Amino acid sequence: MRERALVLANVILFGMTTLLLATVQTSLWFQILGWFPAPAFWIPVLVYISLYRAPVELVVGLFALSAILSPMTVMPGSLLFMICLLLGGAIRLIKQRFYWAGSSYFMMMSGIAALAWHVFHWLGSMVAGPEPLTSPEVSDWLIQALLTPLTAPPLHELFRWFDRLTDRGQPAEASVDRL
Amino acid sequence: MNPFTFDIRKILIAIFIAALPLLSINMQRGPGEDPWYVKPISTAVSFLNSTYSGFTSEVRGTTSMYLKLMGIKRQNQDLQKENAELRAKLAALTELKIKYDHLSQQLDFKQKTNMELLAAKVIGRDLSPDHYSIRINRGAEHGLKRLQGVITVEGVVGYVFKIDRTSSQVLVLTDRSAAIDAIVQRTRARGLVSGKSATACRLRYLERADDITAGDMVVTSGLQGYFPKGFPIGRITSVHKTGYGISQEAEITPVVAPANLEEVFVILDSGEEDFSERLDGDDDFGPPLLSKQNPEPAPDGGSEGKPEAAKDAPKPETPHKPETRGAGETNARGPRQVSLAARGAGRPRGPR
Repeated sequence: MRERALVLANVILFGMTTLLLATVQTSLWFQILGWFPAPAFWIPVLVYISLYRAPVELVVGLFALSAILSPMTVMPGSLLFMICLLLGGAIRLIKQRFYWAGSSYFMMMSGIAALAWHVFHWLGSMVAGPEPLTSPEVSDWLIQALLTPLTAPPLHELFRWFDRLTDRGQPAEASVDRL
Repeated sequence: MNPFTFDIRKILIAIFIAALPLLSINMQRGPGEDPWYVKPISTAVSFLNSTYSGFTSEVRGTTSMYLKLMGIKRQNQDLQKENAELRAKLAALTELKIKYDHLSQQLDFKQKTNMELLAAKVIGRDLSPDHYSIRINRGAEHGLKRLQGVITVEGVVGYVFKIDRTSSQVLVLTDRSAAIDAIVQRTRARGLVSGKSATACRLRYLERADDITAGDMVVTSGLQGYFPKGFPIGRITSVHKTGYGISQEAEITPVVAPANLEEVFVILDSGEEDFSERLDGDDDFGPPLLSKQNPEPAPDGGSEGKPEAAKDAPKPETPHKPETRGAGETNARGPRQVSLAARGAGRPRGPR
C-alpha cells in the first residue's frame, strides 16, 4: 500500500512539475520576454524519465507527459505523443551506446532532445500531420536547444530529490543492464 | 692730553645730529612730490603691490571657483537625479499615453460596431515555435464558444480553437492548420487563407482565371459566420501560378503581426456587420491602422513603386478623425479600405 502511495506521489510530483515548467515556458516567459524563444523547460522531464525509468513506466510517463502538454499547443495530441515516444526511444538508444553518470550527461541529452524534438515534429508533420511544416523556425529551434541545457542541472537535482523523497532510490547511473 | 686732539667720530655724530632738523626741513615737499631717491622704491612697491594683488586675486578666484565647482557638482548631482526621475516619469507617462490611445481606440471601435465583442488579454503562446496559437484570458465562463473569430482593430487574428473555463486557445491565422474563408477586396476572388510562417499566410484555392495581383487587400468573406464580411486579413505580396492546374495561390502578409498582440477582441456575435458595404457609402472611414500597410501616395499623385492595384486606387479623400488616431499615424487609404476605429456609423453599443 505504501509503495503504491509512493509511486503515486512520484507521478504526481513529476506531473505537477511538468505542468509548472510548461506553463513557465508558454506563459511566464512570454509575458516577460515576449516571443523570444523560451527554453523547453519540460524537455528535462522527458529526458529524465527516458533515462531512469523502466520501459513500461516510460511509455506511460510519456503518455501522461503528452496529455499534460497537449492543452498548451495546437499540435494534434496523437502527433505529440508519437514525437515524445520517438524521442524517448531515441534517448534510450543513445544511452545504450554511450553513457556516463552525472548531470553533464543529463545536460547534454537535454540539449540534444530539445533539438531532436523539433526535427521529429518536422518529420512527423510530413508523415502524419494534417498540414506539413514547410517553413520551420530553425533559428528558434537552435536558440531553444542552446537554452534548454542551462535549465537541466537544477532540474536534474530536483528530480533526484523527488525520487529520494518517494523512495525511488537514486537513478541507476549505469542502468543499461536494466533495459 | 692734547687739547687739539679731536675725536673725529664724536664730531661727525654731532654734525649729523645738528644736520637732522635741516634735513627734515629740506624733505618737506608738496603733496604728490617724491624726492628722486624715493621714486625707484615707489616703483618697486607699486610693482610688488600689483603682483601681490594679482596673486591674491588669482588665489581668491581659484578658491572661489573651486568652492563654486563643489556647489555646481552637488547641484549637478541633484539635477541629474531630478532629470532621471523626470525621465522615468516621462517614460511612464508616454507608456500610459500609448496605452490610453490604444485602449480608447479599441473602446471607440467596440462602441461603434454592430458586432458584439469581448475584450481579452493575450496571456500565453504555443508550446512549439512551429505552431502559432495564443492563449487569452477569456473562456467558457465568459461566453466563449469554439470557432468564434478573434480580431484587433487592425484586422483578423484568428479564431477560438480550444476552450477552458477561464481561458481559451486561439489559433492564429499564421498557423498552418488555420483556415479562414476570404475574398480579394478588389476583384472579389474567393479563396482560403491558411498560415505559412510567422509573418506570412497563403491564399489558396483561388480560381486560375481570377484577377489578383501583389498589393491587393484580402478580406474576410463573412461566409463562415464568425467574422464580419469585409474585415481585413492581409495584403497579397506575391502570386504563384504553376504551369498546370485549376487554381492559383498567393502569399499574404497579415495585417496583424502576431508577435505584437497584447489585447484582442473575441467576436461573440458578428451582428451581420458588413464592412464592404460601408466602403461604398459616404461615411468618412479612417483606417488608422490599415494605413500602415498602404503605400503612401506620392505628393504629385504619382504611383511610382506601387503595385498594380495600388496604382489604380484613387488618392485619399478626406482626413481622418484625429481623436481616434495614434500620434504620428498617417493615412493613405483607397476608397475600398475599411475604417475600423474611426468609423462614425453603426449602432452604438455600450461596453460589456
